[in-house]
Formats: sequence, structure tokens, C-alpha cells
Amino acid sequence: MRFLRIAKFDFENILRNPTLLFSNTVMPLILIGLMGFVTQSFFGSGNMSSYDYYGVSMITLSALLIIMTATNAFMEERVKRANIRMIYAPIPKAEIYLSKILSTYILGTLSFSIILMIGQYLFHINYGGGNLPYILLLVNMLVLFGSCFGTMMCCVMGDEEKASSISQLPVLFFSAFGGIFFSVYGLGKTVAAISNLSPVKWILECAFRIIYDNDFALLLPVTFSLFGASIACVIVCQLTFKPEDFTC
Amino acid sequence: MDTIVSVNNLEKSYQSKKAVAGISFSIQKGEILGLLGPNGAGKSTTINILATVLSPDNGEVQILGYDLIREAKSIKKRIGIVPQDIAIFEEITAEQNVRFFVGLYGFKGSKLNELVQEALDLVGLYDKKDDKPKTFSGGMKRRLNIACAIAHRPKLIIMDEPTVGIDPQSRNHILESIKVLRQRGATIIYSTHYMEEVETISDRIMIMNEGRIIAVGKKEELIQNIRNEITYTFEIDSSNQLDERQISQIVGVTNVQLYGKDLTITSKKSKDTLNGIVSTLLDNGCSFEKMTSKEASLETVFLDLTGRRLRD
Repeated sequence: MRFLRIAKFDFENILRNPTLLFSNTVMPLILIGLMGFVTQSFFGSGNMSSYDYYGVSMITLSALLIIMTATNAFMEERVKRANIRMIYAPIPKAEIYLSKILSTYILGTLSFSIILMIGQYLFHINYGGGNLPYILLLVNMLVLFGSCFGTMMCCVMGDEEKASSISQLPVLFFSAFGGIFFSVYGLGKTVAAISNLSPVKWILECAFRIIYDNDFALLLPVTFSLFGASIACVIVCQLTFKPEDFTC
Repeated sequence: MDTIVSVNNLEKSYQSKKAVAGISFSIQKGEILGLLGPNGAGKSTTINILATVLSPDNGEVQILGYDLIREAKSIKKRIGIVPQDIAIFEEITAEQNVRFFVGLYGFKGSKLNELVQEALDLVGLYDKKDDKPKTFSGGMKRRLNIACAIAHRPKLIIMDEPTVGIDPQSRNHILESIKVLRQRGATIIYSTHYMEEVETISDRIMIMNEGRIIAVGKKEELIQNIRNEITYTFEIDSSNQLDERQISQIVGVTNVQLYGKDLTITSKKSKDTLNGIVSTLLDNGCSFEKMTSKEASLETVFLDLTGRRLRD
């Protein structure tokens, strides 16, 4: 009960931060609209429009960027200073970081689910029609992984600024090699092989197969991989989170 | 009298530096212990260990009869920490702040309401309960910082510089609140850089330097040890020519500090020593416009023991 109260409070804290709120609600829609508009001539008249492609890839990028929301929700200067009282209170240290993961995850999962539904039913972006729930599942698993990863980076670094700076590297790597902005197949076999390391690539591949081929072969491996990676991040949180970092 | 805090041979190091070097002390129920020391003396490390946030390398600590290592949760329930930084949420009301933090201690319902009102009342912010701290002055934020720490009625309250950078009115309010808390049965550890605060509210004073306790006792007892000392302050006009070592070598001089034009010398009360100081200054080409003398005080005790001023 107390844990849920802390998570609710953390969730409200994120809502009180206009930057975080904007980047998780309006920003994905702007990205989809902008990229779709700029690149529409490259897509011709096939059954995938630029809006369909960037509808999936920009949502994936935005979901990955939840990492930044997680680091902010945990250790942004103002929040961190007030959170010191949780360190002094008789609550297990796991509740402190788990509440940040849960609150970030709830925000991401609510926000991106709504955006996906708006995209499909209002803007007619192809998210698979009846297969939309599977796309929702994929994106939500990525949000879970991003929430856990961002929180883990804070636990390891002990500082929001360092955690955010360093987290940008994997985000950039995963996005660039995952084909968020352009296809990496044209860049040679080596780059294509490296791109297989990016979870973004797995998600895009899996999503496009579900949407256009009704092929679910990748769904379970991708969701379980992301879930496993999320669990691994939580374990690292438990091992590395030092409450005294809050007192510095 | 009940012992609330018992510390025995406490040690804590960071890499090779000993932050706390085998200190032992105890605090009795209802006592206000003033904790003094220059920066890096080990005060904050000691406070963080007592707050169960840091683990000691060595030593035994018992708080309210509970062992610091084995029964940290029982200790946390019964202590309140006022951190040096203002640890409140600026975007929610004063009442919501206290309510959230006291809720972490398991209180709810009417008991929670009662505790929130009591804490806000104590620090004089009840009429501002619906205002957000971002509209508060520095002093009001400090008072809210205290309310959040004491609302669960802790038996031991540890305050780490709770009055930094605030107006005299808020400072007085805070000092009065501390006295009320003591009357209600709380034991208080009060760390500060302000000597006059310690003199006003503390029953005993503990001075730390370089990780060690270098003096502990009542104010009068500490001053008694150096009652034969006097502190002279000269306002000199040519400090660049002054060799402090020459003055240190005068028989009876125990401490020399030069800050800009202010030369502070602590020495034994002796006519010869004063004559020696004056003639050395004149021999060094230092004329002085003003000289004051001060009998032993807590400030001179501190200077005498640490060789530094408190705010160095």
C-alpha cells in the first residue's frame, strides 16, 4: 500500500514536469507528422506510406527515450533533494527505485497506448488494424525496458546528469543501427550484422512483420528478451543502488 | 537518565582518508548536543551513520537501545533527520509535503491529520498550509524542512545545519521550536556553523576536528579549560610585511590568524606577552588602527582546539 502511494506520488511528480509530459505525449505525434511529411515522396504509392513507416519507428524511438524520463524521475536535482527523506524513512531501498520504474512505466504505457490508438483510428496510420494489441504489447515492453534501464543507469552512476549523458549513447546506437531514420541494409553487410544487436531493430522488424505479413514469429522472442533485459536491469539496481548517493 | 545514543570507537574511511577516526560518545534523554567542527571535521559522516544511511567500518552504535547494523529499520522509525539541503517538493502545498513524508512512516487517517497539523503548527506554517513552497521565503522553506522531519514525533532528532542562510526572525523561530521539541521529550543533535546558536540551545557541546572528538562538555566547562587565555584582534594596515611565525614564537601565544587586515592572536593573559606582540608588530612595520581584546569564549575554545575559525 505504501509502495503504491510512493509510486502514485512519483507519477504525479512526472506529470508536474512539463518537459517530461511534453516529450511523452505531444512530441511523438510531432515526430511522426514531421518525418512522415518530409519523406512522403520517397515512399511512392506502395501499401506503406511514410506516415505508416514513421508511425512505427518514431513511436519506437519515443518509447526508447523513456530512458531519459526515468533518469529525470529518479534523480533530477529537485526530486533527488526531496527524495533524500525516503532514504531516512523506514522503507526498503528497493521500494525507492521500483516506485520510479513503475511510475515511469505507467506514464509511458498510458501515453504511448493512447498515441497508437489516436494514430490508428484518427490519423489512419497502419498499426495492423486488428493486430494493434500486439503492437501495443511490443511498445509497452520497450517502455518497461527503457524505464528499468534509465533507473539502472541512475543507480550505477548515482547522478542524473551522468546517467542521462551516458544513456544517450545506447539510445543513439540502438536508433541509428535499428533503422529508425533510414534503412541500414544499404550500408553493407557489416553494418547490417551490427544492427542485429539493436533491440530497436528487433521491434521494428517484428512490428512490420505483424502489421504487413500477419507474421508473429518474432513476437515472443522479442517480448521475452526485453522482459529478461528489464529483470537484469532491476537486479543491477538492487546490487548498485547506494542510498548514501542521495546525501552527497 | 536514559542513554539515547551510545557510540563506541566509531570509524569510517573513504579510500585512504579517515573521515571518522574512532570516536566514542553518548547522549542522554532530553539532551540537546551541539555538534561543532570546521568543514571536513567528520560531522556529516557521523550524522549519516547515526541516520543509518552510511555503514560504519568499525565500532558499535546503539540508538534508543537498537543496534545500528542489525536493527536499522527500528531506528529509522524513531528518528527524524533535518538535512542540510532543503528536502521538500516545491510544486505541492506545505501540507501535502508533510502529509507525504509522514505517510512514509505508516501513519494514516485521523492520526496522520493530527501529526500534520501539529508539525505545521510547531514551525508556524499552519496558516500557510495550502501555499506551495515555491512561494515561500528561504526561512519558511527551512521551517517546512523541519516540519517534514519531525511530524512523526521522533524520539531522536538530528539536525544538520538547519538555519543556513535565513533571516534572524526565522532563525529565532526555529531555535524556539527546538526548545519546544525538547520539552516534549525529544533528544536533539544539532550540527551548525553558528557558534551563537550552539551557545543558546545546547546542553552540551561536542567539537570535532579531523575525524576526532577534541572536546566535549558543557559550555562553561569548555571555557574553564582556557580561562587564562585572551584573544586580541588588531586591525593592521600593512599585512604584507607581517611574518606570522614571528608572532607565534612569542612566549604565551597559542594561535595566530590573519584575515585581510584583521590579525587575531590568542595568548595567555600576561603583560609580557602583550608587550611582545605589540613590539613585534611595530618592529615589522605594522601600525595598527584599532585593537580589541576578548576573554575566553566558545569561539576562542574552538580556535584554540582546532587552530581554525568555525566558518573556515
